[in-house]
Amino acid sequence: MAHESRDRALVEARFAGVFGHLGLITAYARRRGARDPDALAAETMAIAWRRLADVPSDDPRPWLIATARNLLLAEGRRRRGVSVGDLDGVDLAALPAPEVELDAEIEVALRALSAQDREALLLVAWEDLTPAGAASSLGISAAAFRVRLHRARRRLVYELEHGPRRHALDNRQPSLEQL
Amino acid sequence: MSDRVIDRVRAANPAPATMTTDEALFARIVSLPGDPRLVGTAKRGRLRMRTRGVALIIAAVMLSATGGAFGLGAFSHDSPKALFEANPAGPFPWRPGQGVIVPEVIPSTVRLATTFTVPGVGRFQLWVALSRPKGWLCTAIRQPDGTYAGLPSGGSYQLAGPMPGCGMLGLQDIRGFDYWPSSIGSADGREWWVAWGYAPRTGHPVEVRDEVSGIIAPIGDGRYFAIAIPQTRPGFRLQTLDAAGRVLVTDRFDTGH
Repeated sequence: MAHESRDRALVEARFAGVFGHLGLITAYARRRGARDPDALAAETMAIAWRRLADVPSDDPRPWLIATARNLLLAEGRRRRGVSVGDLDGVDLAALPAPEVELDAEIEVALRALSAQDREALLLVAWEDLTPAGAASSLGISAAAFRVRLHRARRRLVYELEHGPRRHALDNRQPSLEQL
Repeated sequence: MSDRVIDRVRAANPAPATMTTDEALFARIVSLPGDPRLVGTAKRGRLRMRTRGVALIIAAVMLSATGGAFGLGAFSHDSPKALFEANPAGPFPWRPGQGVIVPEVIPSTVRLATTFTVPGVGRFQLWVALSRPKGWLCTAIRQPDGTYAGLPSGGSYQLAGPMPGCGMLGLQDIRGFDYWPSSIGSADGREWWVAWGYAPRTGHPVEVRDEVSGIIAPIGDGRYFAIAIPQTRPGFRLQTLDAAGRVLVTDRFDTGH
């Protein structure tokens, strides 16, 4: 009995370290346009509790973000009326549009990036992940991530410096289609 | 290339993360069943060693006794993947005049969705898989002795329900519950409802609760559940709850007598 309660306390202590990132996941869900960011973050944490052995204890953020992203993609599929049986791969372009206010120039420039490049850049800039952590979150190699991030940076610089001002802010879409 | 561009995007972060504490949510989550690989690891490890030893002895005795006889017991101890590939449930009729559907399991999707315990009987497993044509689910309940519920040679258990295989449940109905109700008796004379299937994805459900008995079962993979409910009333009332304990969807099953 004493062993069980001690084990339980250890497991809960380990989960507390994961649960400390609730704010990060809520913010991630909000930025990526979740319908109910708080509920999505709570579900992410519930999954982490059920699969705690899979959650890296040194830095759980990449695992949590990958889980939240999968929930967002599932939410996007439901919004579009796609059967839950259609589970072919991870389509970052299917992430729902954000419902947050964003600097207009940055928004236009980010929209010019591919969904994959944009996610790579935002994982570093907004989620504050290291390149290794971001690569882990996306399930790709660190080398592949560096290429993706480099491409995203280069394209973003170009867009910010020479980007078509024709996306004049008056004419831009009400929300990002693919972010 | 300068990191100034990253800094500029960082500065434009529209929703910076904040330190959030939600003690009620934390308490709620840790009250759910945790990862079985971590809770009571040391104790279960010893138990598993003993169980494995006993299982090996039983398997050896059975092999020598049966001489590898098959036939009536076909599929009864197959792997879930082999079971779904054999699909004992067979084809099923589609709309009138449109023939039958011959579902074919997608092997890579076979997985253990969840487990449930019937007190006084043992632990059961719900296995699932997707199938072609898309939209139909393969399901099988594996019983404590390794046999499958619903087969003629279903071991020593009386868990009723459909023949295991593909096409038993349709994945299209994502707004409502879709499950099979069944029942089983335990050695102490009590009767139990058993329901298995998938829960509606409305909101972010993490568990299913029978509102009548208060019994709770986790939702595996965000979709699948299996729950055993004591038969104190003619039926049961299933609800999905989110991680904060809010009721999302309610569904009533009533035998009417």
